[in-house]
Amino acid sequence: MIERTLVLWWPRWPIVAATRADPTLDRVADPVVVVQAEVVVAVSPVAAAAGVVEGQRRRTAQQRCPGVRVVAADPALDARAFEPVAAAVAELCPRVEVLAPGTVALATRGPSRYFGGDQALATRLRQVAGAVGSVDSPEGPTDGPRVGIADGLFTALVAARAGAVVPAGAAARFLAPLPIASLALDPALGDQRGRPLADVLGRLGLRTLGDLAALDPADVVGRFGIDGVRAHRLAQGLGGASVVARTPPVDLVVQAELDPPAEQVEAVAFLARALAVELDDRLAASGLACTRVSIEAETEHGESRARLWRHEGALDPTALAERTRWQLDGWLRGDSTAAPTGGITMVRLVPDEVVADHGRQLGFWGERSAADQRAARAVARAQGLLGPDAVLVPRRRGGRAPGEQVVLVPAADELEPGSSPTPGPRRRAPATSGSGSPAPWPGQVPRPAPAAVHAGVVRVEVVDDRGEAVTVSGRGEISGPPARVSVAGGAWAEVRGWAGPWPAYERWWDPPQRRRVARIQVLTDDAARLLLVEGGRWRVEATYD
Amino acid sequence: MTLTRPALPDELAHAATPVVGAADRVVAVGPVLAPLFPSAGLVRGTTVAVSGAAATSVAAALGSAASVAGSWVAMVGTADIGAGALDELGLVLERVVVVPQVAPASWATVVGAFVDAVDLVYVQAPPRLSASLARRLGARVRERGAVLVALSSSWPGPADLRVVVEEVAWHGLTGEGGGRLQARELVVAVGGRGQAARPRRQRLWLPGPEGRVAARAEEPAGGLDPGTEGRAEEPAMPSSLAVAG
Repeated sequence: MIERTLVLWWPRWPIVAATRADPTLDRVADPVVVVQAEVVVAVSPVAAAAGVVEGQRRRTAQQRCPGVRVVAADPALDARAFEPVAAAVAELCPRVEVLAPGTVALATRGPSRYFGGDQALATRLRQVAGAVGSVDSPEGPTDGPRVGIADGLFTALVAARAGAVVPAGAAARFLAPLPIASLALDPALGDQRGRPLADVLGRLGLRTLGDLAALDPADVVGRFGIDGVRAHRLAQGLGGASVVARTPPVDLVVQAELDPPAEQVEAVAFLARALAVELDDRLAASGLACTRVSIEAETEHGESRARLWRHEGALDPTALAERTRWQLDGWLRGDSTAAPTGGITMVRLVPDEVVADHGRQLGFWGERSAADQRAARAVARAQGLLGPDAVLVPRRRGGRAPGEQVVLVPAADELEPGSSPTPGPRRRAPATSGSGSPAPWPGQVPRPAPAAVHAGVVRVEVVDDRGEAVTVSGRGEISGPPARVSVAGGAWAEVRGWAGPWPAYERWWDPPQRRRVARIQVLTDDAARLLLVEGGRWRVEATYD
Repeated sequence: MTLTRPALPDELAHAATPVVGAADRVVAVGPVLAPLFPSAGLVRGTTVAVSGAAATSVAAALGSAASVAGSWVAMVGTADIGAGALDELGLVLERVVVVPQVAPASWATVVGAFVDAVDLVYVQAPPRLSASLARRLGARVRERGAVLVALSSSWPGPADLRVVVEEVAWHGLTGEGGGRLQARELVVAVGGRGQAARPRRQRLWLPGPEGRVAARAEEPAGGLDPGTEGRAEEPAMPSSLAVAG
């Protein structure tokens, strides 16, 4: 049973928020774009008329519309500005979910009956939200919020774009003629996965959602996997709920009290972060992920504000903390009629809807035990501290014999499905030459493999019993038995035994990196080492530590 | 009227003492290395310092049994680790994480993150690691039940166990460039506090002629002759060469 859902969507909300924050900008008359990471994310009507569209590079937008005012994206500002709108909607209807700044959703079952039908509810909400959102400037009929009502969240989101009320049971018919790119509106697929998927489908000739809905589900899952199945269900108007969401037990609720009461958002945000981590730990302990959370706050004068936030990709601690901050920021710094009169004394996070946690973005180590999950978290933590390439995992890469072709590769590469099976230039092969080029492991030197392979260049001098430097000819012949070695300029050590040389012509297929080298094993009183000579110079490649 | 609990008979009282499963508090090290340890393994929450000429190999071998059983091994600051040797010495590569290079400033944070999450954390301490930081890490290890393996003789904090490779002898070189490094004999001593105060010693193959870790009979049969060069005309026994530990 798909829940009948209402979506209120404010077109170009980042523009609305930005122009309201900066009185020198006029949202209707000025060409304005909001830019995030050099890409346009929102366009004002005048700029749009000049040919600027979302997704363009900033530079392109400035070429198309030379006078355009560029504003940096600020999700916190968007959320803060949107809070009064969400509050106004929440006054009329219970359980309003904020999907993103500019978009709220709610189940229409009760409110619709109360206000006398879907159409009446839509009109009422559009007026109320429009009145709150446009206190400072007159609103054109096309620039206010739009309301869509339909079966299921995805269809309602699409309907809101058109400002349409789709009768119950008519979702598939409503969606059929719409472009396939509408899939990107689905919060679970999102821009990251929905857009590429829609691109591929479009290139296959499936131009509308109806084309996709007509396919056999078995074909879709075979070619596009889980995302494809979701898209297929959405296109049929069936809603994307392939997972069973359930109401969580109460013991997952986390809350914290503030004493003295906090007047500043920063103080609360700090606490919210800790709460979010605690909630995440509790959820993880139950094997759950949270897709909808109620963030509740109370002040010393008993005022309270609760808001539902939804995130299909499961709310991680960062997302939770961010939303808490947004909500409180909007409340505390909102207009004077709605702002609380006292400091905040309590913050509570109530998971409202949870799903079984399937490992989220970390699910690559196959079957996952609790130990694997903990380890994966630690890996993610270390990557967060040091950067994704600093954390390595050993992997077999082909090779002649077991153990000879084990290299360390960044864990990040392994974490991303579909990454190249061969290590990139960042590979830490057992040795790197002076130029830093990666070298294949010397298959010619037999087991055992040395336990210490030196990352840096350790020079060594090798002489025979007459004190002359030992060389290896191009034919792989050694000039004389090594008698003494001096590692890194240290004292001379007697050679107690040696073996080799093993000549190698490495990377012969790759002219800039190919090299002719030879290796010998040398045993001295303090260690057994693998020495490598290239161009007449010796270095310690590895130590049998 | 007061009720008193009847005293348990002695033989029952003994049986009724709470039992902590040995497997819960000890990380197994496998049958070959177990005799070196008073608890037949690495006690969770302890710090072990490994040093000597074959420290890295011994440390890897200590983790192999646990790794096969599902434990994770993290290595932090081990810039020179040879991935091939980890494989050969029995670590399960899918459960090994290596952070070879880490700035001294974040070293303790990264080690702490892994101590919270995995059973075995191997560390190469940055130069000038302070004793107080090492002690704090030791406390965290105790709290979390991991085992911290310090790959150095100069671990600045207190170590519960010190594993020292005392003697190393390689087999397989036949003189004049012939043969190859093939098998290694070690004498490993384990000492420390409490039960381990009296050091235990064992002679091991690491790796043995078949490439595996194996116990070596107490008195080497015939050939072990430290300090002299092996001779090629001894085909039955690989000649031996010794390295002082």
